[in-house]
Parts: sequence; structure tokens; C-alpha cells
Amino acid sequence: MSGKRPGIWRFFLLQSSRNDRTIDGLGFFYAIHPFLKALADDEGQLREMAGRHAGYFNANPIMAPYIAGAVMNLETRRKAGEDITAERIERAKSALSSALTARGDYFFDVILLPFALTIGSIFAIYHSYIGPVIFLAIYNLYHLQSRIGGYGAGLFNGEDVWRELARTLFRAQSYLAGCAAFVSGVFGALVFLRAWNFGGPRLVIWGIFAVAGVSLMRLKFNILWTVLAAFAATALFLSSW
Amino acid sequence: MTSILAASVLGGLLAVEHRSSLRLMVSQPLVGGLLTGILLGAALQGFIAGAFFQILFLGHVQVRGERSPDLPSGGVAAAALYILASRDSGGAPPVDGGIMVWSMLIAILVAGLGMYFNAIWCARSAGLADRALEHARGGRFREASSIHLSMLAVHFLYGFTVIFAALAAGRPLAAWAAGKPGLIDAGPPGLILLLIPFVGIGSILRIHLAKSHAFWLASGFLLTAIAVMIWR
Repeated sequence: MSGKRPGIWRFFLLQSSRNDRTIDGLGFFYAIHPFLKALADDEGQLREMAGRHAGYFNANPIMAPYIAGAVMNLETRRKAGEDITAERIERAKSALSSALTARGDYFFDVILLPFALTIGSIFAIYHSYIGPVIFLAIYNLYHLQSRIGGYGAGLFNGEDVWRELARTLFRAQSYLAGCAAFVSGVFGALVFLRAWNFGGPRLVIWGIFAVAGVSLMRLKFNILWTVLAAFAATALFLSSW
Repeated sequence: MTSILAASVLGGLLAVEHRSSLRLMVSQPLVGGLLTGILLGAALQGFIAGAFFQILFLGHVQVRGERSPDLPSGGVAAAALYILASRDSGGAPPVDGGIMVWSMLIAILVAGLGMYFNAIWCARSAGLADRALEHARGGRFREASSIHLSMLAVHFLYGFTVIFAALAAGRPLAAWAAGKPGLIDAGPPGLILLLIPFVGIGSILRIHLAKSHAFWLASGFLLTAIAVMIWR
């Protein structure tokens, strides 16, 4: 496999032209173009490959380098004479986008981001600047690993790249999920203890109602309206203090 | 005016970081508030406002296909408004609750505005992206790339404009409203900072109340409570 990586940084701009029709299609083409250019022998071949990859693309942006690497693996093998059709490449791109996005969204957005933010918030309630530092370090440890190493992993493993991810990144998922829940429990306990120390049972009872109210509202309403309503209620409670 | 311009430029840059999928997370209010504070010469105030704005949305998970609030712009607005309105009111106790309340309310509205702007932009820019893809298929790669990159300018301009407008209008409003007796009495200094995290806990519970997480959630809560009580 060719080891040329002329534009890894382009994956960091993948979603700049996100839209409702082709989603990140233009961004994916922008990111993959230098790799296609490095592979093509002439302008005609480049145009033919571009025609196949300038279209719809919808995937988790952190997983996109893995998908691009796998696509380039197939393109390279096709060019070398292996029996790989354009349809197979398209199918692989589509299948990998769905599978890796489902896992990537869960890992990065549901587990890792709230986990790192909760740790940062624990320090923040004590006004400690170390919170943002820890938050950035935890998140980017996994994020940059995927963004920078993803293309190479995809290029090396081709369509089997998800196996590599299951062996490395997603193995961390189960224990990180437990850690995220544990840290949220720590955060909750600290918030309630601080409230008890400052305002006694009255503040704690308000806290219990607020937590229950927000949890129930989130079942029906989106986060913005829930937060707005909860914050307005908090402001009214302050006035009655 | 210089402070408003500086915060607006930062708002624009963080909007680019957020929308371009750079995803280094420096645009999250926890970090963005601190950056705003450093820029405006009040690091601690900016950090507190940004961090507590973040805590309000702690349980927010971006679901694919669902519009989500523009937290980076909200974070900069919360921090900058809090700093500038506190200055206007002639210095304040460590945490001026009234100004904090009004800054947060305006920042939540800014975050909501960003959500709707992005929805409209994603619908409207589809035609432009289609044209760029046509260029790509026709071999005019430079034109396709230019259109893709030019959209970064839209994100910057949106971030810049919304922060500029929020600060220009919100700064006197927050200072006036906080000083007006009877409108919202924010109670003792610091009380608001004890109440905001309850909202965050409520929203994050939704993620961790699943059967597989509940044990760890309860363990974290109980162990911390016991440890703090023993420590005291």
C-alpha cells in the first residue's frame, strides 16, 4: 500500500460545507482529493475517480479518515489490477460509513465527551483552571489518535478496518462508559453536599426537584427548551430566597 | 468597543472550530469561557461564566440529524457579558448573581439562535454544495475546493456577528436588569453557582440511568458522599 499522506489535515475541515442534501459529500471529496491525485496516472483517471467520490457522504467526522483509508485501499488495489468494481468500493464506503458512524457517535458523543466534560466540571465548580486542561487532554487523546492514525489504519486494513477499531478504540468503550457514570455520580454527590453546606435542606430539596424536573422534561423536550425552563425556574427560586 | 470586537473575533474563530469539525473542543464553553476571560483581562470571571454555562448543558448529546444548540457562541456570550456587565456596574462581589442570571439567559438565547441559523444554513447551502460537486465531477477541483473553504468564512461571520450583537445589546441590558430592584433578586453571592449544577445533573442522568450504568452512577455518588463525610 502506498504510504503517501499528502493531506491528513483536510479531514479536520470535513464538515465546513455540511448541508441537508449531500451532507458532508463536498467535505469528503475535499479531504480525499489529494490522495486520489497521488494515485491517478493522468487527468482522465483522476476525473473518473473524482466522479465516483464527489457525491453523498454522511459519517462521524472522526471516523471519516478510517473510511477514506479503506476507500483508498480499494482504489489502489483496483488500479493494481485486482477484480474490484466501482460498485464494490461504493458499497464498502456506504457500509463502513453506517457501521463506524453508529459506533463512533456512541463512543465520542455519548461516552467520551460527557465523561471528559464531567471531570472538567468537577474542577470548575471549585473554580480550578485544571478542569479545561484535563477535559482537553482526555478528549483529544482518543480524538487525535483516530483523526491522525485513522487514515493509515484504513489504508492498511481496507474493508476490515472495523476489526482494527474493535480491537483498539472500541475496546475502551465499556470501561469508559462505566467511568463516565461513576464520575457523574461523584459530580452529583459533590453538588448536593455543597448545597447542603451552604443552604441546608431547603436547597437540597430544591435540587432534588430540579434534577427530577429536568430528567422528566428531557423525555419530551429538547435540551434548549429544557435548560431555558429550568434556568428560569432557578432564577425565580433565587428571588424567593 | 475594543472588548466587544475582541470577543466577537474570538466568537468567530470558535464558530469555525466548531462547525468545520476541527473538534479539538476548544470551542466548548468550559474552554471558550476561559479564553474569553483571558482576552478581556478577567480570566476567573470568564472561566466561571463559561464553565457554568457548560454545566447547564452537561447532559447534551449531539444526536445525528437533530439540531443542537450553538454552545460555543453561547459560552463566549455568557463569559463576555458577565465580565463586561460586571465592569459596567462598577465592580462587584466575587460572583454577582444578578448579572450572572441575565448573562446566562441571554447566552441561552444566543445558543438557540445559532441552532436555528445552522438549520437554515444547512438547507440553503445545499445548492452551493451541489454546484461545487458538479465542478469536482467536471475536473475543476480548485473551484470545488474554493467553495468548500469559503463556507468557513460564513461560520466565522455568523460567530462574529451574533457575539457582536449580543454584547452590544445585552451588555447594557444585563447591567440595567441586574441593578433593578424587584426584577430578579439573585440572593447571596455565589448561590446561583450552587443551583446551576442541578440542571446539569438532571440532564446527564438521562444518559446514565440505563441499567448497565446505574450501578456505577450510584457507586460514584455513595462513595463520594461517604468519603466527604469521613474526611470532615
